[in-house]
Amino acid sequence: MAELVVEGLRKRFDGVLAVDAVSFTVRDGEFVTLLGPSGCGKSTTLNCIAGFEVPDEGTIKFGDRILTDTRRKIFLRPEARNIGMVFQSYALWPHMTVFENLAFGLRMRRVPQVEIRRRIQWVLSLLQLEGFERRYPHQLSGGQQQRIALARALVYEPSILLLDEPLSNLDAKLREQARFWLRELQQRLRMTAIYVTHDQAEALALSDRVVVMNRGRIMAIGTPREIYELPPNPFVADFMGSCNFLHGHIETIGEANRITVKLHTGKLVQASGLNQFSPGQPVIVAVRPQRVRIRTDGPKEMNTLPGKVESGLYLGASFQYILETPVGSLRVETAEPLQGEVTLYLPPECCIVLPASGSENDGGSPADAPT
Amino acid sequence: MEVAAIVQRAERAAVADRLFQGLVALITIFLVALPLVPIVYQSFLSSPLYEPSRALTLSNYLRLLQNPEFREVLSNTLVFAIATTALGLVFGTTLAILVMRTDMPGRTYLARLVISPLFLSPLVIALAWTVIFGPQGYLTQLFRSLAGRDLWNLYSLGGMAVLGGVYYAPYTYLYASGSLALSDPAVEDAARIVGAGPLRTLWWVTLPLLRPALLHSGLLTFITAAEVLSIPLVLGTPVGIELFSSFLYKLGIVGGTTEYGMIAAASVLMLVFLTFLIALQERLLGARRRFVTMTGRATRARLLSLGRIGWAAAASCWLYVLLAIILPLVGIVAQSFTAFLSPFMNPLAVTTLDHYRLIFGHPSYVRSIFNSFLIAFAGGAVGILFTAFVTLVAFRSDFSLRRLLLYVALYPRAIPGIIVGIGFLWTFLLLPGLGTLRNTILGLTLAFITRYIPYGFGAVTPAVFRITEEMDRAARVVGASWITTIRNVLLPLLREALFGGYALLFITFLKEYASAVFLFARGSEVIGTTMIELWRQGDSGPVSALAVVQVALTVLWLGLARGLLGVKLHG
Repeated sequence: MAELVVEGLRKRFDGVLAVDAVSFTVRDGEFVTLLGPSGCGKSTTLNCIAGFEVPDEGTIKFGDRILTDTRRKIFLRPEARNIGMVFQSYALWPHMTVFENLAFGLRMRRVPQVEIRRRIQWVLSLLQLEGFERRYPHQLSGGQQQRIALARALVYEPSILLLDEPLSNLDAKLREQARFWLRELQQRLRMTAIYVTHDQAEALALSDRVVVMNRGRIMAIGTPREIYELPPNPFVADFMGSCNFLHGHIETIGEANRITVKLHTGKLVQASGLNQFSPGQPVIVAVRPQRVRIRTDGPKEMNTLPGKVESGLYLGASFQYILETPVGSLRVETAEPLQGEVTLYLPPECCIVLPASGSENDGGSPADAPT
Repeated sequence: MEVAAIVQRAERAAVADRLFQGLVALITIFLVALPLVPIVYQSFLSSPLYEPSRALTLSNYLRLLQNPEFREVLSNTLVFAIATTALGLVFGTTLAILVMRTDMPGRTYLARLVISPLFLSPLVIALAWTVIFGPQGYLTQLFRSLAGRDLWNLYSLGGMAVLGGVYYAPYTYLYASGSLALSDPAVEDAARIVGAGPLRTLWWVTLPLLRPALLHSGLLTFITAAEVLSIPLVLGTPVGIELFSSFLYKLGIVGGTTEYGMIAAASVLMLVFLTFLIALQERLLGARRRFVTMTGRATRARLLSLGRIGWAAAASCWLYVLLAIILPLVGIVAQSFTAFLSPFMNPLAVTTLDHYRLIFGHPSYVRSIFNSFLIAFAGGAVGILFTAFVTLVAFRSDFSLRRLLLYVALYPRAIPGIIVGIGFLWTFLLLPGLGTLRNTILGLTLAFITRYIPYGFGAVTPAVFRITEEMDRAARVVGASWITTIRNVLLPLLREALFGGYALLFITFLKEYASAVFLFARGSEVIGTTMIELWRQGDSGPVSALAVVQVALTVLWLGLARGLLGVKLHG
């Protein structure tokens, strides 16, 4: 096994850049997710790796095998790449039985009949689908079809597994289960895999690392925790779960990534950030609604604010409120119901300093980012 | 598993893929160019294209444009095509709305009868109409004796247009009813909610929504009407009214080789005109729109309750079907079994099998039936398979010329049947060694396939679009080459559509005559050409018998296709 390296990938459709300078590496045995809103270029990137799209620029290498190199005019066709792929629609061939579906890839590889039987036995037991060999796809439930699609991709032991939103056709309950067993299977097989989804919860739950994309460009690469806790820009912060954004500029930079930010209203807040900032630089402070704490009384610390409940929603597991504060309205999620005037505390480790739009990591202003 | 071996195999398969795709494109281009090149060439030549003394000239065009007869032909053709289109639109739309949107009694049976002309040769329908409505027709004579004078004249531009309207109404009917089946009935409900009555809703909502379908079918009707041969041949020639195709036919059959230049020049002008119309059609609707599938949501529209008007509407519809379709067909069957068909004679007193004895006793007549059947049976199969390959290269490959291939394959829509025949004839005369093809049905088969690639295309393409591209991708990614994917995944998935397309091409080939009238020779007669020969000799009995044989074969085949292949044809 080896690692997959994507470098400088660029693809235009009718003059619009669908993928722009995308580079990343998938290590041996790693599960990497391409995450982003629809139209962000994640599927195009996956199709370039699979060989269904010819990129305008860029190289894709797997170990020492070059799959695509636009400069040297190398392009391996999909059937030459030894890839396994699970499609959004599953694309099980309806005129073939489960056995024939699974055997097709093995026959293409001239695997002897005895070995074909053995491998299909193996993969079906792996996915707990023994005894389904003679069924046709339409005789299976959605969840079973999804697992057969995965089995078809695994049975010939491809170098890398590509998954294109494979869970999006399952209903919510089944999707949650599928997440668990997919993660468990991946841990067991240690397959090198690239997973495409627009569902951030799925990405966080399944991946070793996440590549967040928007408008054809990579916005962040990191482990799920890094991406969620310390997003590098407002787009990622908002896409990984809704966020409050407070505008201001750097006042002082202290020890251990502790930064003091002066908000537009004049209020000072303590926050943390990984990026390199300099005093006076305009920034945005991102605070997740779930991380804001409520204090009935307490010391008048730097990060406390008075707030007044404007409106509220009951979400079942929690309550969501819009609170009017001196720094503007804030969204807050709490386990307990709130009423009237309260004191809010923004923990400094949960206030993330991000460069304001216009800087190098531009992901669009938070205002036009999806919420 | 050995990755290097996979790569090596894939590379070898890639070469085969390219070769196959290239071959399909090459054959298509060749087939379409075959009839066109000699015609364009001949139109600039002073003498027949196989004569050594030929020289380049523009005189053919000048002669043609100065010919007053040709000018009359053009105006006749235009009047006929416009009137036919108008009538076809009115018949087709009215019937589509009545069938799809009202509770008119008996509408499902009506729907089937209204589209039945699609399965019949226009030659058969035209001959059948003369049996009933012609100057010596059954009803004509009957009404003449009652009224003391003729109430109509079928042998006129008006008569031809009425027949044309009936014959081409299925086009409008199919497009309009398809559009009605797909359109969201909530749009009509919304109009009712805001206070519009049913008739206003029909006029202000339903009809405007049909506009794209009507525009498309109207243009289609116009194009086909402008090139049709049998209607002017049967109804116009006896009284000297020529339309474009019958004019070419006269020039070719009567004038012979001396008129090659004129024939070619007229053909080129017609091709330019039809190409313009086809391009217009594409522009107005977009190339893909044509293939939009008719199987959409199964939401059922609320049917407009017609009440007592319903019976009146049903009665008019049945009268239409009875007069325009059923009666003529009954008439031609009756004529084939009688020595003389007249309202003043008991037909049972003059029944005879002589016409059939004549047909089945004469080797060249029998041969024409056998030839037609063979071309339909084998040529139809080859045709639909080849069309499927063209479709798959055009829509499911990364072949670099696939867009060009699409245009070339669909271009025969702009080539009138008679011109396809002339073009192939001249190619066979021009190229040494091909001359013998004329006397075999192979030449005819090539011409028929070329002419009807767009038909097969229309039958296969919607099915191709219904198969998600992930199906092919799934096969490619597990290691199958393009050809293997076609063979193991796409063709099996297209099975039903291919059977349907085959049934369609069979019927189309069986009834084809226009591209054969110039091309056939001794040994390669088909039903249509024999019918025209017999008709020119005035043998209406044997002509009817042959027509009945053709219709019987069609009906038999439709039953067989439905029973064995599970094919349901909606045209």
